[in-house]
Amino acid sequence: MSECMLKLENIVAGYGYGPDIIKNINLELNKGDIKCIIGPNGAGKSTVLKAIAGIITPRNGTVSFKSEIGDLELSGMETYEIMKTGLCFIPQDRSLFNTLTVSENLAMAGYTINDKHDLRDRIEEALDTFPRLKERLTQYAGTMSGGEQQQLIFARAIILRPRVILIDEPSLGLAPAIVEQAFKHIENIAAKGVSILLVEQNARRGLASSNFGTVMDLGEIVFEKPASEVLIDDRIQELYLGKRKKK
Amino acid sequence: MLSIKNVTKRFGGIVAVNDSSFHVENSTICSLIGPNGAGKSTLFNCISRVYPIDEGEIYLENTRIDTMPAHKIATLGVGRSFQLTRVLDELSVTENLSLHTAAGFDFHLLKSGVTKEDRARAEQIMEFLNITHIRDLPMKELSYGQKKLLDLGSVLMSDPGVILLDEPAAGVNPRLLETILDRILVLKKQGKTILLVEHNMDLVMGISDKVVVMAAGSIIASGTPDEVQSDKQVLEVYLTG
Repeated sequence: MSECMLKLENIVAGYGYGPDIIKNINLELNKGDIKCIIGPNGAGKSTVLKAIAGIITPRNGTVSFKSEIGDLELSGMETYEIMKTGLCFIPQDRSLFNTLTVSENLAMAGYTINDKHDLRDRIEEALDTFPRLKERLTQYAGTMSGGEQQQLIFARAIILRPRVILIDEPSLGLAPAIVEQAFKHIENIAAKGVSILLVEQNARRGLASSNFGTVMDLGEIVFEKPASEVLIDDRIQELYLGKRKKK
Repeated sequence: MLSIKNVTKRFGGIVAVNDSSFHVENSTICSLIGPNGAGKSTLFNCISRVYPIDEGEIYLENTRIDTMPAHKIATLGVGRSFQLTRVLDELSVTENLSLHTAAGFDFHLLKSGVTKEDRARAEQIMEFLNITHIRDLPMKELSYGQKKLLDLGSVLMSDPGVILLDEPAAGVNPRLLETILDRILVLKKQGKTILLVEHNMDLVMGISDKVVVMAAGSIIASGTPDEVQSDKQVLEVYLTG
């Protein structure tokens, strides 16, 4: 059986003093797996990622992560501390520094790495994976094409040599050809043994690159299945288009 | 009848609504649905003239309304709510409601203060919505759901024949949702024509006579809830975001 890298048990979370947005979330992510969370608007998909990454602190439950230095409990830790342990989060808005160059963006990604030589090696490694960026080192990130920005985002993520990457809506706002590229990058990263948990509104595309699919609605997990079996489940129709009126 | 004929709305190079046509029969409930970014709210804003349209025509019965300013459309009996509630926090529920006839009609703009009729109408509305017990509370003490209910109340102040509701169920707890749903059905029985934009599919499919589905700026399907739910193309647009 493959190694479990990330395990959520009974996670409850919400924003500020507001209601619980996600309730009793139990989820496991194995080494090298790509798991895609889908579900209608307001299901709580992005909130799950934010609760894991420490953007919001879970109100209940545990997030266990198998880091390089052993098993860790992430719930309650600050985001920057979590990132140091080898878990990386790519938010929906992508958060590139548009007015910094490619090279500066990569250096910022390694902000938590104190050893300069180590950082240089890691940036080299990332540039070998995305050679296009090597030609663009002095270009401002904001002036690059959507596809190049996407490469920079993934390059920044792998600089941290993460074991787990969380990705919120990789296809958002990208042209169809660039979406395809983005998912190819995701598959390549996972092939190296990195586990990926992603949220995707384009359920069909997200699941096509994933091993497993998790379906959420109203803050809870409705079911989990191998990715290829998710969309043929009868419950999908009702989740997205509502209950049938009784005749 | 509210008729939308070949309406197109562009923002720069982006076509937010593309050559869209549908109509809402009198005394029926019609819902506009579709995945995020489909153009629902834009079309809604075109009907209430928040945005001028680039092409096409919009009619209320035989009167063309897309060429009129927003307040003229309101005087013809078209009322709308907003996705985010718009209230004056320091004023009470009664005061907030009372302001609406005054602000809603151009011939009232020059009058001073709120009339007796406005207050009487506000009382009627509060009874209709079953919220007389909170009549003197300042708005800031209300829950989000109560504010949404008040938003519906504000629309009703001018007694419109056509009611446009932008996500009336968003962020509302289940019990209050029942109330809003029930009131919408009563309004239909009273002969009002209702058009909603809504993401809560159980609500949409439960109360609509007609459902219009938008995706990427165009209308891709319309029909009864049952017809729309059985349409494979409709599910597909939701699954491909």
